[in-house]
Amino acid sequence: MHSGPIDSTPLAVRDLGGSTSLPPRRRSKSAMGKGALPALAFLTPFLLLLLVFQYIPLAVMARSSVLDYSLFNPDNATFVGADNFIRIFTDAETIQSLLITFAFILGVLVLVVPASFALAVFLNGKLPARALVRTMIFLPVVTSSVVVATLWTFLLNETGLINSVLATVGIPPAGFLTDTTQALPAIIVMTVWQQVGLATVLFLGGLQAVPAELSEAAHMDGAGPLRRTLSITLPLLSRTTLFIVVVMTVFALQAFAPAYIMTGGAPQGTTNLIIYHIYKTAFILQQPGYASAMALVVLAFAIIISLIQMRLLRTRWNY
Amino acid sequence: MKRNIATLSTAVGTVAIMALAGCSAGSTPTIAGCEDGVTELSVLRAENNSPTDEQLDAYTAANECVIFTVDEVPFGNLAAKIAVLAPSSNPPDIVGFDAPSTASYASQGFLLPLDDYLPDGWFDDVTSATLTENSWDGQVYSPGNEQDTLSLYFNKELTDAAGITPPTSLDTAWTWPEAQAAMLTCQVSATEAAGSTVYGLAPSRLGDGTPGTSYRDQLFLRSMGDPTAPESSSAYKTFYAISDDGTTVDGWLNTPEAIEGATFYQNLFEGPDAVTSKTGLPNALIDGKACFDLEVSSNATTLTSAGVDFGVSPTPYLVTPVVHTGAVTFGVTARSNNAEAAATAVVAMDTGDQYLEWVENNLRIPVLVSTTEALPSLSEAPLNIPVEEIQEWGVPRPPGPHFDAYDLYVTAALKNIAYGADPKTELDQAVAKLDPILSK
Amino acid sequence: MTTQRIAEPTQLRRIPRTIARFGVSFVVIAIIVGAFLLPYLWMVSSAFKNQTAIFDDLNPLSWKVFLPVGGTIDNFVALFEKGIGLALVNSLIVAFIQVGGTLVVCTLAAYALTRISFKGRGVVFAVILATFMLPAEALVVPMYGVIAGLNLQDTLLAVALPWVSSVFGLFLLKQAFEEIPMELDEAARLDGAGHFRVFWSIILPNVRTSLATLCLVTFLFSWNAFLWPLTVVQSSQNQVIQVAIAQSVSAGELPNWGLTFAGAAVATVPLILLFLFAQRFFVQGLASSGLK
Repeated sequence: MHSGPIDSTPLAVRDLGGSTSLPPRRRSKSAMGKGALPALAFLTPFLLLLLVFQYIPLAVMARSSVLDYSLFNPDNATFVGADNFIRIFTDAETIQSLLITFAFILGVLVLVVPASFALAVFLNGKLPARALVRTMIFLPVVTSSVVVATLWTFLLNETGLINSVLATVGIPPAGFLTDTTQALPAIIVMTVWQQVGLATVLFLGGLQAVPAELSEAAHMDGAGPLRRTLSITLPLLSRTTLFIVVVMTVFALQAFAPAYIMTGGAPQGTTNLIIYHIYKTAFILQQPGYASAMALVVLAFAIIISLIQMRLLRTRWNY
Repeated sequence: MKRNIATLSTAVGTVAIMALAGCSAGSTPTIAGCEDGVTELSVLRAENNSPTDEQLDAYTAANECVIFTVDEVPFGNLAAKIAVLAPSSNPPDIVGFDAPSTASYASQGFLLPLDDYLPDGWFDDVTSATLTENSWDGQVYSPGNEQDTLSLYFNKELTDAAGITPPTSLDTAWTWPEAQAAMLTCQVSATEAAGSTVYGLAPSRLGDGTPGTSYRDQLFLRSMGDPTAPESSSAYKTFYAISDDGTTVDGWLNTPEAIEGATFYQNLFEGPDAVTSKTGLPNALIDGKACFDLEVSSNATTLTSAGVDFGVSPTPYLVTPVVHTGAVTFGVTARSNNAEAAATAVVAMDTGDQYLEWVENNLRIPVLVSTTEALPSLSEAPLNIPVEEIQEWGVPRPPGPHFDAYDLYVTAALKNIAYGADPKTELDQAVAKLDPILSK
Repeated sequence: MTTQRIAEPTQLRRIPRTIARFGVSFVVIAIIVGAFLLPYLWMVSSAFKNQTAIFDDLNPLSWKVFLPVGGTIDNFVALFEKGIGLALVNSLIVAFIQVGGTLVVCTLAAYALTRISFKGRGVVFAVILATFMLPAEALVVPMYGVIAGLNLQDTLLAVALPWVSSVFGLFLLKQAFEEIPMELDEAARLDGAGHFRVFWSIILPNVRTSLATLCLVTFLFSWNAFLWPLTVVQSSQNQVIQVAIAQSVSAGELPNWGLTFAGAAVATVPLILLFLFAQRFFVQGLASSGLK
């Protein structure tokens, strides 16, 4: 199926392929030299789908962001320039949503990174039941966000499992999802629960790649296990840690189900995560222009994160 | 722009699509005897809501050249789904929606006015609440399918055990302080008897299953007002909760009376006299986990089939008795390719014999006076209470083209108040968020 | 092993250390079981109970809460009567389209980005990587416009197609491809093999584990998607599992925890079984993706 689409390749892709450029010099010895045309053939299906399903919608969104219209009447739009963007930073509800999302990301990172590192160290050791533990912490990773959010709604309910357990030791029921001081922490804990398995497995991969000789040498120098972990292993895992931080940041930034299924943004907007806020603005308030502007700001934020990542990992990404 | 996308996408995507897709075009079925061919009407509705399969099948039985294809979404996703489909090239022909959204959809050109399709005498027959809710700018967008409202259902076993006899007529209806006292008594007695928590008032399943739904909980605010007071008075404004022209809620939603009502409402959830829960507990009334429940009229059918011994009391009030009217209804999209056939079908399902039969079979409250008169069961328990409430106390939810935003922010404010936030702050914030939208 | 030998100066120190090791293990396992296994046990056992039983076991808390005591299969019967079986089949079809499409499209692209040198390769990769950050929920409306423009709305293909060009998949494969020594394909090229031949008979056979990982992860994404299928599918005969369970427990009738739990179990258990059988690929594949 990769032979067909070449004929209908849009100009943009041809330009990216640089069809008239000279073969690169760096690896002139290899047979890879006469690159552009075969590269185009191999890349076309992917780039075509990417163009159609990501870049065209993105372009439409960018166009919407300077318009004021309703979903019902897209043709009846007025141009408002940067108004939608200005509004983002003057609208108390949106500012709160951005701050809440920021706190949410920070909360998830602060908990998930140390917890998953500790679990990875545990799983990398020779302690019994490692496989069992690894399997169990990975269960939420393969469970859908819808199911996880539903399950946790029941766990955190006033008459749910957690309050029922607390009641057996005489603690009165807590309003996990209704109290302004508990709702955000509650969904942070849920997200950590959901993602810690993935982060642990990523750390585990990093740990297993640490050369055993280094640890041995430190051991002979009389370093204890804790010091070995902190001063030898951790620095070696900086790249893995960074990767985990970026992946978890993106997941947290895009979190939708907790607000959509569990809280509706309540109480008092303390769980009004930005993606849910965007969704609500577009679909319920019927302001897709403003919602598009917010989505672009979120996207810009996400790209900045990925640029930082690319910069920090540059050595591996040279072409 | 839309066309540009379509052209571009089609051009670049065709080959890949053909490789992957196969032919997705459906063929129209043929039925003998339909000279002009079979008309296939697409229907979008909320799950378990009208137009029901029973209604559609009955229409096809009478008009065998019209068939329906049905798409369903959860009620909570209906508005978003409509918003996505509305501007697309293939909007559904018939769409079910919540009646208070009529003005919003109609003002944006989504719905087809049905005045030309309504039978003679319809305007004299329809109840005024339904006509108001389903009209916009002098035109009717849905014949209305049913009326509905909240009443106070109670578990007789539990109220009897607590020595409580709730009123069963509108003139003897409880005020909220009376109702709360009764709920508290029943809560204490039933909890003691069961050995585990039984609530005086069941946690609401309406909306997303947490407190605050404006349909139910805004009644605490509006009931503090008085529609007979002078138009400039705070009491009058409290009752209507939005300015007459629909452009502002400042001084209507956040009046001292409304704040007092909100404070009373908050005390149902918090403090020594709390009678209900901040989080959901489904089926509490059925399962004997609650003494009372504010529910819609179909609850009677549910309780009957579950074998619960129950009674129906009017919705309690604070100053003025008031209930919200309006239910899920259905209409025709303005851009339907089969507008004529769809409009004819919609009107047929909601008028005449087909309507009478459906209302009778399903114990619904009709929107036509003639249908109401033809059904003696409506003046008997359990339906007599909601029927009378609608007639004597019913008001539409504050209508207007921005109902969805109104509903969103009022519900959010009430939810926060139920969870313990300061009533005045919350109502003022709702006003601050709503006014820029309403005045647009 | 060598570590072990050096680490044992005396036999005396060994015994308390073993005890300590088991102690730590025990505590960690107890916490993990409490936090991760019990919620799932609760979900599955509650799926076999009616609502009253679920609440009676919680209030006060009983050991029965984690076991399907007095079980009933009514919830499952109700779900399958509502057509959840068809939704499972639909989800499988969507997953197969998405997995198959992703495999084809991503392996080809990864080959171009690792094996063929051409001007602008870095730019192409950056263009691709940038979309990794796109929040899909915010793009639903314009994406639906594209699908409608292609006249694909309300098809299973439309549920899968937009996600076939998976940036994650490309990233994963690109890393796997880079592990294969360049000398291998250079030798083949000298023997006159074309790019496709090298791709097919040298690269692909060497990245089987990564391909398996990609299959599983794509299957997971596809199976668990909610908002997009909810938007793009209209008719009930094309409904996928996540949307179907959300619908079967929502508005119109009284919500029921037993039914909700049963729906959650039906949507989750197949994936958990898949994960248990293919755990190796999930864990190894994902672990290596964090290394680079």
